[in-house]
Amino acid sequence: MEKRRVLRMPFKFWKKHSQGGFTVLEALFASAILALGLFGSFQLSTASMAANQSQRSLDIASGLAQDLAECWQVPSVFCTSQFQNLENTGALSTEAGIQFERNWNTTAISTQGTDPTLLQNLQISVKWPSQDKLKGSNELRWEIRRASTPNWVGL
Amino acid sequence: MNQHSGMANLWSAICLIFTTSMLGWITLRSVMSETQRSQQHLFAAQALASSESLLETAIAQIDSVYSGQDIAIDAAFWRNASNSQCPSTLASPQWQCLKWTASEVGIFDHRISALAWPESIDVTNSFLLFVRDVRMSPHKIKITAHISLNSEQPGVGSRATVQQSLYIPISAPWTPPVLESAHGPEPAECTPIEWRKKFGNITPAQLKAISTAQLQNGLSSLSQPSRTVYWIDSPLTWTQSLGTQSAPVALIFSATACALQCPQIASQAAITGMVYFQSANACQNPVGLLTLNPEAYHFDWPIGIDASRVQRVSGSWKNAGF
Repeated sequence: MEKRRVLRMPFKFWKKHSQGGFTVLEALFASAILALGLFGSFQLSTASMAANQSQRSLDIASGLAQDLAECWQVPSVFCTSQFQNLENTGALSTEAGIQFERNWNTTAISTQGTDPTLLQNLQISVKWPSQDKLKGSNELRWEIRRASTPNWVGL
Repeated sequence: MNQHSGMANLWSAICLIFTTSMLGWITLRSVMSETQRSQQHLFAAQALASSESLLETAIAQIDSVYSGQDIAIDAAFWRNASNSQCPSTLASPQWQCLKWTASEVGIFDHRISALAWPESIDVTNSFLLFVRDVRMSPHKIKITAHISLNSEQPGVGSRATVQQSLYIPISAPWTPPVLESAHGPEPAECTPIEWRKKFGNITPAQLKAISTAQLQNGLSSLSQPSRTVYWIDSPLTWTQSLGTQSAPVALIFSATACALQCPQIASQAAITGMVYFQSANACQNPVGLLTLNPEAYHFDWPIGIDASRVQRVSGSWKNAGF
């Protein structure tokens, strides 16, 4: 019985003096939790925006590379004119406010005894500035081959 | 009451923060899953580009093998082919399949150069499969390229399969022989028949290559389906019965077999189809044989095609599948 009374003492004390102190504690707790939550939320948003932006840049870069790779395989006037030379460096294009640099070069792949004109290789490199200044720039490499074997299209 | 309102406020703040955090988390998950989807799309596109590169490499290889070389190269190219390499749907012995993996480098015939595998692929998990029907269309090869991206690529492990068919110059489009006037004199029984009148544009070397391919793939008179082209270099008497009404054969005794005297055909040997002796002095189609113009060397070629070189079969490109 005595023991129980002793245990109740701090509680009564707390209850007696809680009118003034508890509001301050409550504010402190709430602010701390709010700050923590907002910080976490902000971090999440920042991370998701960065990931989204990075992926968007990668998508644009892959689009630029694939567009050129497709063009290389189509003998249209526009596409043929793009590949007048064996290589092209420093072609800039701005997409969604980011400047992309597209380089490409074509080479013949020839093994012993094979005709070097039979198989061609196109290497494309697309570079764009990284969001992280320390990283410098990002790069996407794309490679495609094409055999000169004709397609029978009929009469 | 006042004591409890403080707790309620605190609890409400916690709940709001928790809810906001949850919404933020769900939004992040949503954005990240979209990002991942976009990445997977990119990896798939990269894998597809690599598989196309391997396919184009194989096409160039075939072009190199069959261009400007004796058609006898066909047997050398398919030397390591076997029916066991075929997909389960092509189990019949008429299908000839040749699988190339990186471990097979160096086992090619000296006239066939090693394959230049694209750098982006994992060669241990990639292969090329060449398939053709040696009975119905030995002039058409279906190439399947299956790749997996290697560890140097961001999409490591991404796989893709593409396929395309090629015409190879192992036969020629069938042109009906120019028939002599119906009112003209009947040829004597032993008048040699010109090759072209029987076989059109297909050359002896091509027919020999087809015969070799059928033999190489295990087709015989007893197999199902049976062999249709027999190129014989032996001068020994022929004793085997060949061909049926539904599947007549072409039996050609070569100039080698006929060097001294063309081989005899034993009386018990029933040949349903056509027998041809590649000799200026031999009787064609000896009496007692059921002569039918076999379809054995009439293959499906597009009209007007130049069959002397390797060409892609229009519309045969396919993404995925065997």
